[in-house]
Amino acid sequence: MRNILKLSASLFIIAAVSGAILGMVYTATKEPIARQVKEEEEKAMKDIFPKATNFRLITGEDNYIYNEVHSKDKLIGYAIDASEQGFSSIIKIKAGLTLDKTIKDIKIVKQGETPGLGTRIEDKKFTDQFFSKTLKQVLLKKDSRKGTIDALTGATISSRAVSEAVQKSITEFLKIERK
Amino acid sequence: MSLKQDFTRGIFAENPTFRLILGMCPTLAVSTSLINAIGMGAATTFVLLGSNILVSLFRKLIPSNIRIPAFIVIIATFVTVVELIMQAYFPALNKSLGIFIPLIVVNCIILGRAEAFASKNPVFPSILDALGMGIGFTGALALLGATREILGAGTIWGYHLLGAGFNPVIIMILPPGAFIALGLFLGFFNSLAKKRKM
Repeated sequence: MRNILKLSASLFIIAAVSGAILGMVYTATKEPIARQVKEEEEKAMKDIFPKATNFRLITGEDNYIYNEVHSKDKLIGYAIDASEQGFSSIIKIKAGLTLDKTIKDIKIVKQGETPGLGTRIEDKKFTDQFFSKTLKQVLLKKDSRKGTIDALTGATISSRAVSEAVQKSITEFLKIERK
Repeated sequence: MSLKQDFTRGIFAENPTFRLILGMCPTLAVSTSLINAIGMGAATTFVLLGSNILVSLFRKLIPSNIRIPAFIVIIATFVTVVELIMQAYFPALNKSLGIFIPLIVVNCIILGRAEAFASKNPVFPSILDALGMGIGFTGALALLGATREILGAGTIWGYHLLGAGFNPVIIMILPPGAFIALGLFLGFFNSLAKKRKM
């Protein structure tokens, strides 16, 4: 009986100390991590729109958030967020739209897919397929007759998640924008 | 055992991948290319080093009946702290190694070395053990990764190696290719080890 108490007490102390350390590190790194994520998103938008001079954050209906992209006070496009459950992570994407609502480019902001297979959704070879596509064309060739996107070999689920996320977010954006 | 043996054991005689058959899950998943293999190997070596040092430091304070849950808590805490700090202050490193960190949590080499070595030995030999095992694991992954990348994609470290006429054997970079390559290497190293003993 005494032994059980002693063992539970030791395990309790180990777990409590670990928990306290984790809590401290989490609090200390929360702000810098949020800053890194923001920087990452801004960099993605700059990559998509190299001529952009500033991004105006717009909160539309239902708290839908997107960015208007301006170049010297002239509206040149929109940057919208897309996300979808991939194979082993939630994939977060920035998609850039031109004024005529076709895709300029997409950037994968965050993902944790299988290294060597799903992670290739970041490659230019894959993302370049989205250039100048319209809403209906951004599905996989194998999923839809109008689809124009080739899935990556061995990473169909990740590829599908990207194209469906982009399609969903454009649909939503057009709905808000039209109002 | 001598210090030199503590270090060299992990590289061949007790190579975690080919001799102890530990850490198969990340081995099979990540050895799709040489660059991934090296990334995973480096991240694992670092975590192994940290966990061996911590376990060795606390080995006299942890009652032996509850050592396994205690090790798991210590290792998981260490890995999470490393992940948070990397995300916050080393974005470049996080971009290249970040995807491997969650895989390391399920890597039994870390727990295996804590139990088999660090919990019974002082800090310095534990450091040597971690480095040796880390190098052995990285080497094994690199061998598998390079083989699978050359056959399955026709490239090495991302550069095209074979001419355009080469038709990649795509199965080699898919999960079945991992089992095929691993099986052949295991057979090869088993026969090597047998010859050595005779």
